[in-house]
Amino acid sequence: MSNSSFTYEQASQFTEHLQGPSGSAPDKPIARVPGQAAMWFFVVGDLWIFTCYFACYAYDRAQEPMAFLQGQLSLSQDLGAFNTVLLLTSSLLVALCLKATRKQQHTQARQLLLMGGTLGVCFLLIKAAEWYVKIEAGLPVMSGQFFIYYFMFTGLHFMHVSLGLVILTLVYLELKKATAGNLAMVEAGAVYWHMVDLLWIIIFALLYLM
Amino acid sequence: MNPFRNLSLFQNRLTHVWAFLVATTLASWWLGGSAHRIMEGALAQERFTTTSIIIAIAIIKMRLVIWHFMEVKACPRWLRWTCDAWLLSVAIIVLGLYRFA
Amino acid sequence: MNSAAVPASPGIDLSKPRMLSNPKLDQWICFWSIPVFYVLFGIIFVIFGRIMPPPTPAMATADIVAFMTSPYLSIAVVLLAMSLGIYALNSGLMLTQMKRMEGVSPVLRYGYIAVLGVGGLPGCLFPGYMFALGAFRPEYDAHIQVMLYELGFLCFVGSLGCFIIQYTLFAIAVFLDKRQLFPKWLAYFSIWTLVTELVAAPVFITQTGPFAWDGLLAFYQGTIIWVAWQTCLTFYLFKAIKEQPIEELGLPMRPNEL
Repeated sequence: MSNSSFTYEQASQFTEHLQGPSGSAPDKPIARVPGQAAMWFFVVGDLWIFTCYFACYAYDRAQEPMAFLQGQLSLSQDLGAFNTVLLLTSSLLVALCLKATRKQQHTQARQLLLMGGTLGVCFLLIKAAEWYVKIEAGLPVMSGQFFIYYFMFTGLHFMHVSLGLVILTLVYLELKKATAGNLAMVEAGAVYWHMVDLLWIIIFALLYLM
Repeated sequence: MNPFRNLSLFQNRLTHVWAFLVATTLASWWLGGSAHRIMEGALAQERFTTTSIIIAIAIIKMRLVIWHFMEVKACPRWLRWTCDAWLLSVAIIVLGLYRFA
Repeated sequence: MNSAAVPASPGIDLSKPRMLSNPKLDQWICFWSIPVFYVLFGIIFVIFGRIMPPPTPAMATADIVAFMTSPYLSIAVVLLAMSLGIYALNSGLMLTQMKRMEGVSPVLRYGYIAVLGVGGLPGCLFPGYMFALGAFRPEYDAHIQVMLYELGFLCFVGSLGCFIIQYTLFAIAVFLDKRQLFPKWLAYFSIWTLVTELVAAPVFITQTGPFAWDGLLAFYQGTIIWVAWQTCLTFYLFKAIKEQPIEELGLPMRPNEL
């Protein structure tokens, strides 16, 4: 797979370390950055932006622990856990899709990607249903800090998942091309999707369980 | 066609990681949700141990996702250290502010 | 492009002073209007208006009236009303440069300019007029002054819808651009700006804490990221103008053809 087949993205300085002829073991440490260096720049920065949110949340929570605990207990831990499992499974499917792409199994990669994306859509639907139930019971943002954090965190995450679905769609179209496809783009899409998963793991712990 | 063909799903490291992640999710769900619904009157101080365990589980889960799904284990050292430094910072910032602020 | 009709030599007219014969003079004037605008912006909002960093929403009524009737605020709003239009030069420059991108639909750049123009109204001009009304009508009832104060700041910090689309359109254009006029990471950077801008949404609800309009998340984090993004964008705009080939300018008449 040569760099000249990269249609969407010029190969970044790191992708010259991409695997040699197809079939070399992907699990072997080869000291390179999957996808595009720019995507990692985004991921690390985004994680730090969220860390600022988490810091404010932890601080405010310490100010009125009982109010936050009560807000937390009014959320559905069951739905939260179910959504976590959905997103973890979706992440696994996207990781397997990358594995299949590296083996040049593009049809199989597309099938796996489609399943992963469907689980992402399910996540969004469940999240929207959760919001609906909360808002039906009276707009809770007026009743304290906890619900402002709840809607901000889940809302920002919702936006990230939606953007992730757009990216997965672009990856799907890329895999549909007759050519070898753009491995760096599939990798970058997978990295973004796993970041969404990552953020949900910590948001679930902070909002639903802590 | 079976979309999981040739992936040796049960010998695959990714599947093992996924199974572990789901198991720890259920563990922390039990710890933070159902078991403590009774404890509504409990002081936040008493809950600190539970909170620490839940955050620790979340950090371990995130580390596994970063390491195996995002393939950072095969990345240059600077990225591995950046990710680990971030995980450590999140743990310290969240628990530190929660405990001492 | 009619490159065949244009001679390869840049064709500098020696009869004019060197600066005026610069074929990119128009773009450079627009470019240097950006620092001029932001310096004015700083003078208006930080030094005279004391609008940035914002005072707390939970201020006592007497303090709000004092803030609104301050003579410095009236100077600030007059300056703002006179100078806000300078920003249009920057928009024109962005349009000119975004036109050079390859494989990018023109819809994106037209949308970018339109949304920037619309966003300036709630983000800059509305608060200006709210504060102007308060500053020039000191006889108003204290409650009306409080309303103008709140409305002014809610417009100023809470005007996110337009700017979110602006960052999105810019990011998409940079991603699609085959010519790589702007680096890819700047597109990702504008998504951070989008995310941190979104967090200002709860300013309508809370008066204290990180989500109030003077809050750590709603104001400071978003502003820091935005300033960094704007600085990077200005730098790459400079680079884009500098590296633009003269043949591409499409000048109607070249001096050595006269």
